[in-house]
Order: sequence, then C-alpha cells, then structure tokens
Amino acid sequence: MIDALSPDALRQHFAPSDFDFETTDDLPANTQVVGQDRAVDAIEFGMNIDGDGHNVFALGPTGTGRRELVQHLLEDEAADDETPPDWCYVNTFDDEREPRALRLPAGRGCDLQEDMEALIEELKTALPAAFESEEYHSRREMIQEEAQQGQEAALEELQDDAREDDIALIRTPQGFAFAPIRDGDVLSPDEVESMPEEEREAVQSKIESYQEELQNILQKVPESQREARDRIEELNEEMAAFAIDDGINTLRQKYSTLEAVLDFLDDVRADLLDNVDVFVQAAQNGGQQGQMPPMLQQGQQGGGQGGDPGGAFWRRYRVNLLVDNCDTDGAPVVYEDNPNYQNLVGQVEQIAQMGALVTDFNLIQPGALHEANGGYLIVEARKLLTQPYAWEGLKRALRNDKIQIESPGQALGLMRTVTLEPEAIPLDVKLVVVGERLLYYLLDAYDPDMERLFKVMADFDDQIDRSDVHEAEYADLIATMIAENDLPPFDSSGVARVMERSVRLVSDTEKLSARIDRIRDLVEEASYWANQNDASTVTATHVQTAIDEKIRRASRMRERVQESIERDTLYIDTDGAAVGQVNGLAYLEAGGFGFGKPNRITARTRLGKGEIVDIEREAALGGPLHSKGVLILSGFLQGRFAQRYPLSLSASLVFEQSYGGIDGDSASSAELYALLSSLADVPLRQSLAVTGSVNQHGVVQPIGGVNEKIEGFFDVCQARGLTGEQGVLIPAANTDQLMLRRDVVEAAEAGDFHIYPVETIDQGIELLTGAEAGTRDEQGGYPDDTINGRVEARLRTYADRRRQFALTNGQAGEASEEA
Amino acid sequence: MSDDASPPPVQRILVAADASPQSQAALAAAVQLAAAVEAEVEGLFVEDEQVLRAAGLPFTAEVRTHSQPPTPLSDRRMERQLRRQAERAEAALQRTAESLDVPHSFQVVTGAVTQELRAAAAEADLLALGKTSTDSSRHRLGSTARALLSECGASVLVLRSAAPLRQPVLTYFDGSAAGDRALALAARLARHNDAGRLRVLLPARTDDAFARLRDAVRTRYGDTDTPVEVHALTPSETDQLAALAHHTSGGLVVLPHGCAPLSTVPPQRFLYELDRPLLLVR
Repeated sequence: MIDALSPDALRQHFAPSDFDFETTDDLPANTQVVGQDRAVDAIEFGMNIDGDGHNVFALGPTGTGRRELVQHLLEDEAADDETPPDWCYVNTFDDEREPRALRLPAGRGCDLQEDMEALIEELKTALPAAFESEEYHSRREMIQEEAQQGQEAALEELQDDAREDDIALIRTPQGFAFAPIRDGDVLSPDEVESMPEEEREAVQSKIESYQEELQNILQKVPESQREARDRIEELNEEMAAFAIDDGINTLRQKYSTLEAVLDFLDDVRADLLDNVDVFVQAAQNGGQQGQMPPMLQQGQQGGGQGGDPGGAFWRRYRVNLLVDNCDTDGAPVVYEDNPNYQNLVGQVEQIAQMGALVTDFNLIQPGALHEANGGYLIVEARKLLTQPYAWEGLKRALRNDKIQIESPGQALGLMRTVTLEPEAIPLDVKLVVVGERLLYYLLDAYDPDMERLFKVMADFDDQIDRSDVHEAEYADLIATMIAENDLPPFDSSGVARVMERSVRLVSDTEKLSARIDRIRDLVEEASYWANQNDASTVTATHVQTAIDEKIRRASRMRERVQESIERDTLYIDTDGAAVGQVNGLAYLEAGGFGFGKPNRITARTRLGKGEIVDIEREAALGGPLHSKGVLILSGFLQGRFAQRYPLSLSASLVFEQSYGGIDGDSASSAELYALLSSLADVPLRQSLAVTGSVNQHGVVQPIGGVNEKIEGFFDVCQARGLTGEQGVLIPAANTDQLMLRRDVVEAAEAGDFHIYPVETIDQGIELLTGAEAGTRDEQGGYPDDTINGRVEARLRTYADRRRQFALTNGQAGEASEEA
Repeated sequence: MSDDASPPPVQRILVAADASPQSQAALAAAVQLAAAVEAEVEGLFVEDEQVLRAAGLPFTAEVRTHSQPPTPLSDRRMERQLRRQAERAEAALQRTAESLDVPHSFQVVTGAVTQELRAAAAEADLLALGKTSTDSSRHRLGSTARALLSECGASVLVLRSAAPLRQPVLTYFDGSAAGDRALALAARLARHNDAGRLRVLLPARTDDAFARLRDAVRTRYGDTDTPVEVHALTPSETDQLAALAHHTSGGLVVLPHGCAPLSTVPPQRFLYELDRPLLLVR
C-alpha cells in the first residue's frame, strides 16, 4: 500500500530569507516583464526589420501585460528613431475638392500654419485698405471718365451741330431721337405738315444723317467700356499685388528650401489676385463690414457676392496642420484606444449650414495612422474587429502604403455626398495588434491578408518558468507595480506570499503566473488591507487577508454547497465504508473563481451483455469527455478480466444528486473503483475522496484543478471534524501541481489528512478497500482473496450464467443476479 | 435743444422720379431723409411734352444705345413707354417707402420737366434730385438739376450715386437764418442714427466770432447723446470748402443756401469737387 505524500510536497514555500532585500524599496523597480523572451524577441525583430508586411501580432491571454509591454518596448526603440515629417493639408485653388498634402520637416508645419495666419491677418486689413484708398478711387474714376469723356464730347458736339440746323437731340425712355425745333420747342405735327415739301425733305435727310452719326457714336460705347473694364482689372491686380507681395515674399524667403511650400505660396498669390473683385466690391459697399451673421459668412465660400470678405473667404488660404511633430522626440508611438474606422484613417468633418452639410479642407481631421506615421501604432484586436470596416480600412492603408481619407460610405461606394478627396499621404508605420490567441488563429485561418501583413507573431505565454533569475525579476516586477501605483512597500514576506499565490494561480510548482494583472490586483488589495491596519509596510499577513477576502467575496456558491453537505442535503459520507459507492470530486468555476465539490458516485452491476450504462449520458447530462471516460472503463474491464469469456455484465454509473451537466474524465478512476467494489462486493472507505482519469491499462492520469478538489473535500471533513483517516487520492502526476492552502498542509503535518499519489488503479483500490489488489499467478489467475480475484470470479459467474441462460432460452435458472 | 428755436420742420419731400438709376438714388435718399425727419415723400413723374411731340412727327426715329437700327417712333408707342416708366418709378417709390414705413404719394404730370418740377417744388419743403441728365457725367449737371438748384424755392438734395446717406453729417454754420435751419436739419439727421455724429464747420475770421458761433452750437446741441464736433474754418479753407468736405467726411453735407463758399464757385464745379450728397437748405 502506498504512502501519503509528505507535507513538504503539498505546498511550495518561498522563504522571505531567500530574497536579498528587506522591502521592495530596496529594489530598482524597473522591470516591465519577466520571461516572455519569445515574445520580446519577436517584437524587437518586428520593429527592426525593414520590409513590407513585417507588422506584429502580439497574441496571448489577456492580463499578461502585453499592451503595456509592447508600448514600453516601442517607446524605448522609437526614442532613437528619426522624427517623421509634419503633414499639412492646403487648398487646391483650382480644384477645391482635392486638397493638397504638404510635407514639411518636423516642426516647420506649425511655423507655416502660424505664418499663414499672420499673413491672412495682415491681408485682412491691407487688401481692403488698398481698395478703399483715395489713390485707387481716383485712378479708377479716371479710367471710367476717360472712357466716357470721348463719348460725351462726341454726343455734345453732335447736339450742338444739330441745334445749329434747328434740330434737337431728345432723350427718350429707350434711347435718343432727333426732332426739328423752332425757338427751342419741338415742332408740332401740324407745323411739319405745313412745311413746303422741299424743306421737309431737307429736314428729314438731315435728321437721317444725324441718326447715322449718333449710331456711330453709340456703337463705340461697348468697346470703350470693355477697354475701361480691362484697365480697371489691371489696376485692381496692380493694387492687390502691391498689398500682397511683401508678405508673400517674406514667406518665400523663409521657406526657400521647400519647393512644395513655394508652389503653395505662388498659388495663394495667384488666387488672391483672381479674387480681387471681392475686395473691390467690399470697398465699394464699405462701412458694412461685419454686419452679416457669421453663419451667412460661412456660406459665402469664395466670396464674390459682395459685402465683406469674411472668415469663410480667408479660410481658403489657411493651413490645416494635420500632423504636428514639433514636440515629438524620436518616432511617435500611438496607442489608439478606440480604433474605429474614422479614428484610424481620419475623416472629413462637415458642418451643418442652413440645413445643408458643407465642408472644406480645414475640416480634415487626422486619424491614428497619420499621427503614428513614421513610427508605431498599437491597437487591440478585439476593439479593432468589433468596429465596422476598421479592419478593412486599416489593411487597405497598410497594403497601399498610403492613407486615403474616405468616409466608410465612400470607401464602400455606397453613398456619395459632396465631400473632399484629400490627396493621399504616404504611410510608413509599424503596426502592432495586440489580441487573444483565438483571434489570431481565426484571422490566420480566414483572412488571406494576415500572412502578407502580419509576418511577425509575438506569442505571450501565460506562465513563466521558475528560476532564480526569474524569481528575482518577478520580485522586482512586484516592486515596479508598487512604485507605479504609488503603494506602500512590501516586505520580503509579503513578496514571498505574492509569489506563492502566483504559483497557485498557474497550479504548477515549476511556474509563475504571467497574468500580471491578477498579481497587480493582489498587490493593490494587499496594500488596501495594510492601509486599513495602519501598517506602513505590507506583509504576508496583509497579502493573505487580500487573498482570503477575495475568495470570500466570490465564494457564496461554494459555501452553499458546503452547507448542503453539512446539513445532509447533499449526501457525502466521510467515514465508514460502502459497496459500490465512492466520493468523487468535481471542479466548478463561475465568475473566475473555481472550487472543488465532493460528489457521490455509485455503481450497480448485474448479468448482462457487457455494457456499462452511463446514466449521465443517457439523461443527456454528461459531456463527450465524460462518456469517453466511461467507455474506457469497458475497455479496462475487458482487457483485464474478459480475455477468455465474454464480458457478461451490465453496469450503471451515476453521479448522485447531480442535476446539472457534467463533463470531463477526471472522475473515471472513481467510477472504476465503484464498479470494482460492486463487482468484488467489497466496501470502499468513505473517508477518502478520489480524483483522476484512467486509461485502458488501469494507469491513473493527471487531471486539472487538483488543489481546489482536495480543498473541497478537506473543507467537508474539517467541518465534521478530522478523524485522521481522511484524505484524497490524486494522480501521482499531479504532485507537481500541489499548492495547497496552509490549513490543509497543517492538517497533513499533524497527520489528520492525507494526500495519496496514485499511479495505478490497483494502488487506489488497495487504499480504498484495505485489501490486496492482486496480481496474476503462474496459472494466469488472480488469488481468490484479492480484489481482482473476486472481480474475476464474479465476471466468470456472469459469463457462465449467461451461457446457461442462452441454452435454456430463459426457461431455467435465474435471469440475472444482482451484485 | 428747445423746439421753439427750431425752424419749421421738413414735412414734404418731393422726388423727381423717372426710373433712372440716378432718380432711384434720389428716391432712396429721400425716403431715408423722410424717415429721419418724419416727413412724407411725394414722387413726381413728368412726361416730357417735348418727347411726346417729337414722337408725333412723321419722320422721327429712335436710336437706341444697344440695338440697331433706328426704330420709327409713334406717339402711341411713346405714351406707352412713358406710362411703363412711370409705373416702374411708382413701384420703386412704394417699395422703398414701405420698407421704412414712410408715408408716400405719387403723381404723373405732362409738361416741360423743369417747369413742372419747379412748380411742384414750390409746394414742397425739400426736393431730391439725381444729379445728371446723361449717364454718370461728372463734369456737368443736367440742365434740369442746374435750373432747379439755382431757382427752386425749396431745399434741394442732390445725389451722385446710389450709396445710402452716411454719417457723420457735415454742416456749415455762419449764424444766418438759413444756417440755423441747416444746422437744425443736420442735427436731426445725425441724431436719427444711433452711431450718428455731427460735425459743424464754423467760418470765423476772429477768435471772438468763432467763440460766439461755437457757443451757439454748443448751447443748442451740445448736451445731446450725439457727439458734436466743431471746426473753425480758415479763410482759405472756406474757399476750398468742397475739397475739404470731400476729404474730411464720407457722409451727407448740409449747407445753407447762399452761404459764402457756394457763391464763389459755380454749383456744378462745387458738386464735382465735393463728390458727396449735398443738401442745400433754404
């Protein structure tokens, strides 16, 4: 019979003396990550490799600090990189729908924006002043007068000539007419009638010749007016150029090395000259500046309707500084918390104006891609994938190496509102997507672009190997959390206790948990309890309080289960012995809190066709893994006992008082013990509980949740009083995962509770029955007084009776015999 | 200001309306003025008998500015054209007057333009005229305007362009009765506008004379909300009043009829140099 594990094996202890510090204040506190070498190397590789598509997908369970680590690594790296250029959008004057992108060295974008604002401010006064000036007025009127003088002089001359012939030039509502006069008055029709024929004809012919002359004069009017207009336009441009050129030339000198800016300044100058009429009209209407409501001014894009060239007019010359890197050291590292389509690729905003939506290049807003351009962008996969079109938009930008600002509707070609099509900006960014493993594998399976765009996979582990180096780093990681969150220092016992908890979290004595968010929670909660106790240093006691309190907060369901057992609502025996009945252990988890629950398993056997009925499965309460475990039992029984005759038993197995579903094969060894007990008709000790799966050869295999299961049974026993007989059978392979509660370990030290590492079914059945399992002797049979011998005898009896039953066709003998 | 010191207010403003841009300007200014002094506006359209008679002649034709060739005239067509013109003028008056809630009337008469206007002006307090007879001539007044400016019994407002009347109001106060009336009217126009300002030019050969005139202005108008500036004119400035007013004011110029500066130069030359709306008060 095997021995119980020594108490030392039940729990990993971290001795405070193992650490070479007293409190975490003695530590440098600059550890962001422990272990994760694979992921860290991958990220560094991804950052440093040039070439398309070497973006990084950082995958791993949440809470391993992936995002913070990625950001930290990128920021370190980016600090030495070159600062990328500024980007501005400016108006394209001959096609306002397609604003132009200007690339400027980092910091110059801001300058240009300010310089243009200053220029606009200057021109706002200088240009109207030029056109309101006396000089302009007199020059303009001079031109108009010169044009008119010639015509008027000609008219006057004509009028005088005609008057000498007693003919008057008369203004009519639509033009001019000639009429004969006498003493200043037009002749009446009678007087004309009474004229001698010759005189009348003479008058008529004179009038006709005057009319011709008048026509000649009037014909020249449009021509001279056009000439005057041309000259006025020349004058306007001359005046405007004088007002503009000084400011523009200053800027041209300042930006003389930047070809694109010089082109822009040329365009601004040309456009101002084109729009000079706006100022001319404003000056003519003068004195009404600023009387229009701002909204109307907005609507007057491009001006030209007279009145004041308001804010809307000047907007066209502004510089929309999209990316401002004047305060960026090295390359930018941007984490986009809300990676929706527009936050990523930018958008063209619109403003409602008199019921219509309007926009211009000043309303172009940058996205995270613009801000991260030339550096690094971090987004979380889950957020990215839950935002409509964000994933597609991001991929398109990466594929094309440029950022094209389009609304999702535009990008999909679904709708077409009046909007802008800003010139695309070249994109050079390293993207790091942080996400769960499942998302990565799904994307990898279903999205053909993944291979092309995310060539670097940074896989974060959820556990860290224990080693001296890692433990020291882990302690410093805790110190870093404490420093970052401004918490009171932990002494070495506190740190040791946190590390113990970390081991328990991964349920592996060789590992530490990489779920640093949970560790951070524990550290914060322990600090809280230390604060509550007015302690300046956090010790193991506070950490333990934090652990206990956290469990207590989550353990309502566990307590209800324990209470039901104590009050004999759920039948669990913890002493005595019974045939075909064993204490199994189930592991339940709800809301991130797992616990073990003892469960009675019973088996009944009788003569039959060799089938084992899993009642859970029949009732559709058992999952596939549980069914598989039960089917393995048939394999075991057949392999061991029914080599030479048919397995002629019928057995039923059930989890008593289980009303929900059940899955997993960790109860299969318990079921087998119950079955063997029933067949051998030997009672099993109820002071023991059993966990472990079994294979067809009777080898007990490891299971999960071993600590919680042991504690679940311990709690029941402890509530009833420990007898010293009680204990749990666990698979020997699970020994490495033991990290039991201190009270369990203490009970084991006192000899009140035992943990048995079981390797085979035979070892287990001996512990449970106190009888020898038995091995085959030279004749190939089991000794009669062993468990195996009794089982084999019973199965042989079943087989004989079945044969008999078949021969007599059910007429003689008993049909079945219950075990 | 005490009301009994003020001259009889302007009650009727006559506008010579012929639907031309100049007369539109006169109309707008007249209505603005009427709103300020609470007067009524009367539009007068004169169907020129010379034109009608010419249209009746068998061989007259109309030469138009923008179309060819000359079209024969008939008296019926001419009557129709004049009627249309009168209707347009009336509609313009109605529109402008109603926008400022000014009482108005309109009348069409047939006759010689100058005589009819002069006759009608005799019953009005103020006559508003567009300046020119031909398109935007700057050098000459139209014959109608020239005649009325010198002979009309009422005050005359002469305008050049369609711009509205602006502040500040500039006036010339020499202590004469006409000067009094001009000053009173100018003050009223200035005060009508919230942002109104009044600038008074005082011809003073001596300091005493200047002080007397200044005090006269101050006692009457100094205590109102409207800012009043006084400026002493040197003799040479008095001679160059038109140019001075042109440079110092963008607004309406109100002058008493027959004041010294007006008597030295012909009216059309004065108007040319002034280049601002002029209100001649009698």
